[in-house]
Amino acid sequence: MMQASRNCSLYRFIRDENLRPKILEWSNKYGFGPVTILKGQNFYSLLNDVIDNCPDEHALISCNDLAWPIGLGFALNGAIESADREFGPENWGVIGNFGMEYFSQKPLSYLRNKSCTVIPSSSGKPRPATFLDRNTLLLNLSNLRRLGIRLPSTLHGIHLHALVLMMECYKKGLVSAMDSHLYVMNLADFDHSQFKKEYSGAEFEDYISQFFINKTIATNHGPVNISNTIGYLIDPRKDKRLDYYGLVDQVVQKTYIERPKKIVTIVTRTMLGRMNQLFRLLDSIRIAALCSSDRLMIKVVLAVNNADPQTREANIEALMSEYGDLGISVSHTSDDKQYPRVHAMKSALGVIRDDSSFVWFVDDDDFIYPEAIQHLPSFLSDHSIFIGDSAIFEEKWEGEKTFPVKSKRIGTYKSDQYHECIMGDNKIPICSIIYPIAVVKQIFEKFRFLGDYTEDYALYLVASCSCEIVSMPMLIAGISFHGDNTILEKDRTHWHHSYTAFISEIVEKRVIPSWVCRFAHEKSSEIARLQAQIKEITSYHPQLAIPETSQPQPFEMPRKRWIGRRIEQSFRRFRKSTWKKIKVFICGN
Amino acid sequence: MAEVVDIFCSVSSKEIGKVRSWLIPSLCKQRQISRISLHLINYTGVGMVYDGPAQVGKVAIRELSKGTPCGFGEAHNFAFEKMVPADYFLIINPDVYCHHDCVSELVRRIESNTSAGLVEARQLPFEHPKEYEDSTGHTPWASGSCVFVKSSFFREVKGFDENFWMYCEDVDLSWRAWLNKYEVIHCRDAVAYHFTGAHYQYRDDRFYLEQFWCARNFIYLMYKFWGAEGEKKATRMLKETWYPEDFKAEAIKSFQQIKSKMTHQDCLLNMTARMLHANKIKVLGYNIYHVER
Repeated sequence: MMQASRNCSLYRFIRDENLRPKILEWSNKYGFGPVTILKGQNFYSLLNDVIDNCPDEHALISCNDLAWPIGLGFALNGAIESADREFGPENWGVIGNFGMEYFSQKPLSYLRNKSCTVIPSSSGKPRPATFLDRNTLLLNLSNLRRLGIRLPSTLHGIHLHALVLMMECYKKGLVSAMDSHLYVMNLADFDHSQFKKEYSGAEFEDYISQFFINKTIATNHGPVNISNTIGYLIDPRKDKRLDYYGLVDQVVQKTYIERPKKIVTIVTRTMLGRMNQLFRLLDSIRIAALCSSDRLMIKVVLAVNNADPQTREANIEALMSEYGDLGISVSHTSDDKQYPRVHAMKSALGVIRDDSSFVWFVDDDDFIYPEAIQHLPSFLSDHSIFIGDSAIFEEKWEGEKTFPVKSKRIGTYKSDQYHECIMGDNKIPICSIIYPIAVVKQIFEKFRFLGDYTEDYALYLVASCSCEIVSMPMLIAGISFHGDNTILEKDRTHWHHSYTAFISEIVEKRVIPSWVCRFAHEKSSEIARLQAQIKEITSYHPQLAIPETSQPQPFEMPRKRWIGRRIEQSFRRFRKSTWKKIKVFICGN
Repeated sequence: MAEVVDIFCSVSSKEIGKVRSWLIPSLCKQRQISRISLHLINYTGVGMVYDGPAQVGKVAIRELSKGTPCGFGEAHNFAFEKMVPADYFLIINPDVYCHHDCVSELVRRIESNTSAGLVEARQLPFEHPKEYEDSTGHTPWASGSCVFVKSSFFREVKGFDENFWMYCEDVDLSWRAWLNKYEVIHCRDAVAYHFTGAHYQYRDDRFYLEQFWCARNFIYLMYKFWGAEGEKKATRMLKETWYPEDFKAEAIKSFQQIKSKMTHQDCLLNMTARMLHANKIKVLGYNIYHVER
């Protein structure tokens, strides 16, 4: 018979006694090992019972109507080992499988339930959370006991004990996270009305407003709104309550402090033709380097290609003397190479010796956000690509000035659009991505990449099929639209040939699984159908028509929002005119 | 160019890291400026916040403390009285990195215009969408995050209005500059990088100090310049915002507390003077003091 993890007890919380025989039967049949069934209407006190009385160092607590995997012990060992490795055995309190992720601030789900059947990808490592659903909780009891963590006796209910446990953990410096090792099938219906009743009750509101200043906690079941006091705004010296999300940030960042230093090499391909813009980029790198912590080191490689031989050496010398503190390395690509953009990348990679480091390609007319640097070490991992947001600026440059004379932010490339690349167009600019260097080197070894433009898309497409992706809604770069961008070239011939060269190679090398292609085709047909419907609707209601926009459209056009706004405006007009009519009817003119 | 440029920066232990890693290194790299005196004003009034060297390159660093907690305006008024800067001084945020020509451009601009009271630097990468005239640089108000101040003007108008505590005191100072026949200038060639806030924008799960003080100070500003009518209008505008009722009530209550301490002379109700600068001294919506550029 298969046993549960050696130092982990199994618990089921039930409210209905009739379920007991069924749970015991499953336990015997599928070899989960001994399961303790705790019955009650208040899961807070049941959880305290487990913390106080469990004989083991870890405990898995599940709700009643939930199917564990056969071979549960392997999954639990995997989750415990993974959390110990990621945070350190002393630094985590609870792991779940369904909640809100700290990094992306988005819901993550490692379970199948009635509302979500999509197969999740592996979490890779436990992902710190700001909310956990109660369905499956793996407790690190030795840490909870060591720090005296218990749930407040004033609280009652069956839905929010996991959130309160997390909050208590964070208060004592323990991380809470989600891990795909804890994947289960949840057969129960979620009781939204009971959930709402619990969070809007006085007990829960009192608990939150006693310790935290937040008025909303984001959960997978919708926002938990709390009527909180605002004393911290009036006199912060007297009101010492915590910002819950700030606290999570502080605890998570602290657990990563001990990690080995990470090295990020910024590779800038340049023809040395836009020196003032390159100075701006190097300024931003310098600012970043000044605030980079002990956990991160920045290096710079200038990948010089097709530079004017008359001025090349003088320009490089000027850069080296002005930015000597950045320790810039230079790689040269000979001028006879046919695909300078790809060759410049390859030659820069040749300069980077440390294969455990990371590479960040930033074009010479763009710049980086120094603030991001402080947070990068927590997100960078050897096996995943990191994607952040990039702001787009419409700029005007003049003469020798090393800053734009005009600059206006016109949009953002959002990191959470990363999955849309399968539809054939690039949604993620190159400066939004930080790659593990080994991944990029492997790709360049395996692929010919006989093209020039859209090389960033090709690289990302291949890498995203072999790596985990960590996306974070954090600005890491600024992109300049100054009129001379290559992307704005009118003659698209070179673009088209390059694109075809890259994609045909990617197709032939079977990078993308056939079912993914099929799924994308289905989705694009669905979009086409929707577009046809919108066209039909707007032919009847021209006021809802989408305004003409000039090409290119590098950032998300608020299409739906725009239609929404028009509807809202019409509704307001309607409401106003109706109100006027009522007023006239009652009061006269 | 002046021999020494005085710089005031209001700071606590929370921001001192940025002063060390960004502000001071950027001041060291200022071109055409031979010496800088950076006065760090410890606004908490408790202990010392800066424990670095007193001289870094051309920058001499000194910490000032009033011994009691003070708001932004009070901190700078205190530093001004204590240090008595000769012709002009720079007010700067701790999280700013100055472009190497920033200070010299500001000096050049203030020295070339005798009626300039305030000359603000241009913030990048997020340029303030505030209006300014291309030829003169005239702007309705100057942001306090990086602004050069003429000492004679500051003395004449008795510095910042300390009632604001923080936020909007820069709008008030700018409006008083216009009323006192000084110009408020946006200097496009003086660039200050201000990256903070790019990622950490307001989250909607809590309120921030800035939201509260801006709400309270909005009513105060309107009352100060437009009297009872301004107060009424501002209160109505605040009530129309999405903020919850208890938030609005606290902001109004806090305003009433200042109002009870004010005398009639504190209100700047000179309508003729205000009318002369109607295109500068204006409120276009809740907390909006300019046309978007």
